[in-house]
Amino acid sequence: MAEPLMKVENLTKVYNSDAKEVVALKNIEFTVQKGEFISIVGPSGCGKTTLLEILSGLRLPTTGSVKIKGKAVTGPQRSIGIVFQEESTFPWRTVLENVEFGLQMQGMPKAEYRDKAHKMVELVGLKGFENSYPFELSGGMRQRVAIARTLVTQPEIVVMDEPFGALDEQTRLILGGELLKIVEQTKATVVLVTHSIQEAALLSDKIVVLSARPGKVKYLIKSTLPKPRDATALTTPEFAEITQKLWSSLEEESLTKRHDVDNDSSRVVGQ
Amino acid sequence: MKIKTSQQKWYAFGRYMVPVAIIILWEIIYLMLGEPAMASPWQSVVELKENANRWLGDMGNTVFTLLISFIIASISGVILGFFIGLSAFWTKTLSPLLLGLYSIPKVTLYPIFLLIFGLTLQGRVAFSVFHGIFPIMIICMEATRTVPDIYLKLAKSYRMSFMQKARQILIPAIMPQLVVGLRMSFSLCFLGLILAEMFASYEGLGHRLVHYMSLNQPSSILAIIIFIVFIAFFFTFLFLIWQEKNEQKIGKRQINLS
Amino acid sequence: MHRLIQTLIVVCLLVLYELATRMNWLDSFTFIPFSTMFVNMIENLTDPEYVTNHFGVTALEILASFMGAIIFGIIFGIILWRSDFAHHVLQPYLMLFYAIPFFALYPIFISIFGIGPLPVIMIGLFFALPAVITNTAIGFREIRKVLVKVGQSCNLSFRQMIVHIYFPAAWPFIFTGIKLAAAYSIIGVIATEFILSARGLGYTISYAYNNFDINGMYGSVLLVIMIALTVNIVLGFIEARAYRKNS
Repeated sequence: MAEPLMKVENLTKVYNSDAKEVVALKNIEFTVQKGEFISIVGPSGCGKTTLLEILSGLRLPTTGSVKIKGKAVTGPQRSIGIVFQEESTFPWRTVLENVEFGLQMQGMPKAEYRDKAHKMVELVGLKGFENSYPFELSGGMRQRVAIARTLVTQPEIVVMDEPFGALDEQTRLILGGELLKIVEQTKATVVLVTHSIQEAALLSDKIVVLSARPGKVKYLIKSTLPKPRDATALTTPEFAEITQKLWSSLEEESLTKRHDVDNDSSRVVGQ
Repeated sequence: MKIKTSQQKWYAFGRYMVPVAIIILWEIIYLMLGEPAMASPWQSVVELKENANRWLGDMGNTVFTLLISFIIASISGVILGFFIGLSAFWTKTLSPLLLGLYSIPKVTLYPIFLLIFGLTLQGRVAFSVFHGIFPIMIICMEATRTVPDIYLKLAKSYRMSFMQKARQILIPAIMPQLVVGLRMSFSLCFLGLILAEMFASYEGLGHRLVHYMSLNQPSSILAIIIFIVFIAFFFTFLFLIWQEKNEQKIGKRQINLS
Repeated sequence: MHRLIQTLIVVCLLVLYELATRMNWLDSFTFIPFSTMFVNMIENLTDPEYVTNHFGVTALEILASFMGAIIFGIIFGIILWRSDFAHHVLQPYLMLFYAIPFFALYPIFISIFGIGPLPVIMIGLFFALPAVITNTAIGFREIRKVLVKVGQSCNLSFRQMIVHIYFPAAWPFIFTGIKLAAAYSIIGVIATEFILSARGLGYTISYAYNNFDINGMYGSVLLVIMIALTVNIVLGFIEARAYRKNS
């Protein structure tokens, strides 16, 4: 096997609060190959968001490391793009200006980034909305803008935190299917954090199932769904099989650790 | 936890140091400007103590007038604001007009009050009410209009009468903002009253101020200002405590006026 | 619809007032018709002495105190944003700020800043300052965390963060502060002139009142109101656009 693009090694995160140690993540290990689509699922409170912030360099692990092409991640960097769960488009920029943001900040000449942004806006299906402001768009459209803003900078790896979490189940699966197409065209490598089993099963090549706190890698499930996929894959027996596997593994977790559904879940509900 | 409390103590310490810093600054200005133009903090306090008896009438007059004006302004402001606020349509229509009125320098209209009422207590009360009524009215109006819809649906589902709804749902829901509005209205009533007294009056602290300004007696001016600021701070403080209690109870919702 | 009714209310009130004064329902020594006020205002404005010595002076004083309030207000607001200590210590005092009758400090301001427009400007500035400070601090403090994270994830420098994230995100709040500062600096300047100064629009009102020149008085009062309303409407219009985008 080729050298993995991202390698997560023996990652542990411990929080100190009120002089009490809380182990959020313990000995997490997995790898991401170039062009792969990986999902991380787990019960509420398993430290998904913490893991994501560590992967993207917004937080540092207590021990262990995240390496991209063999180099440790110590802070936010250009090779990692992030799509946040919350509404994160800039309300003071138009759709096009939002998409241009990253490139503009990198100091690219205007003509060049404008051109790239135009293409990306078209790719995410927002042609005609270039000059609209986010408040004029629906939640799903805004999230596409956020995805476009991240993908246009062509990061080595794109980390997504429940990008469709605030949307209803139907919209999120349709958008998920579209996301796959976009990802295929841009050849991006994606790590997706989600609590939706269907979403994970539909989109991923590989699914990392985390256990309840402290979060540990419980299963690594490889998807056998044929590619390319879209929302029609939802009805195939392979899909049913993967969701079944995921369900049973997550169910065990929720049953054994029911009392642990706490602060992390309240954050999600608040969105 | 330990870190937190020590930090809070540090903040509290900082808060107490602000008045000290102001007094020091005052003293420095005094030392820079010298005797006839300025008085030291100490001289002003002594002046206040020595003249307290002589000024008692004016102090009482101002505080009494202020309380009457504030009571009239707050009651009428709350009632008007509440009933306008019940209708989203009228709130939206009237609110820009009221905000416009709020933003004009109302002191220039005092001569008209003088023409109507003459140099009377009623004239000062009327002007003070006019000067202070807008914040409480606007805030009460907006607060009533923005009471969460779900509360109103709840009231409907319990088949509450209007009085029940007002007492049990609307008034408690707007209370936190109401206190903010009352605080602002109090400040403005006071300011309006002092301005009115300064412009034309035979009594009250504002009148005294102008009197000592013409005599150029900085110690007396500053002594009166100390008293005015004390009154203002005392009442504002009561409102802030009330506000904090309310916020602890039902949380914070904000309407932006200041 | 709202616009229509608003205009209707204003027009009706003005017509009613005009009628009441024309028909002598109201005392003609106290109230003069609106049309007369308007004519007086125009007459005042055609007098070059009035324009340079009063209107011009007032306009400059207002502008200076307004600008000063914006600059110092944003600076202090940023301090209150960056420093938790300053925020927690000064926040309660900002609420008490309006309770202080700054006008009473005028003689002392004269000793400090000399005779001339500066003491008036300072009173207007002090009056307008807290609104800008408070709103700037709130604006910066309440920026949604995720927008900051987007900036961090793009590896922005501190300068880029300020220019492209913090400032545009806080702008609607800061602008609300600026709008209030405009109203307050107008109030502060006019009121000081009205009671204490010997120049400016405020002074013309009190002078006219003291000399039983009802027509001159109403002319100036109307001008002051027009200035305040125009500024308020223009800034309100800009604000509405800023808010619509950012909500």
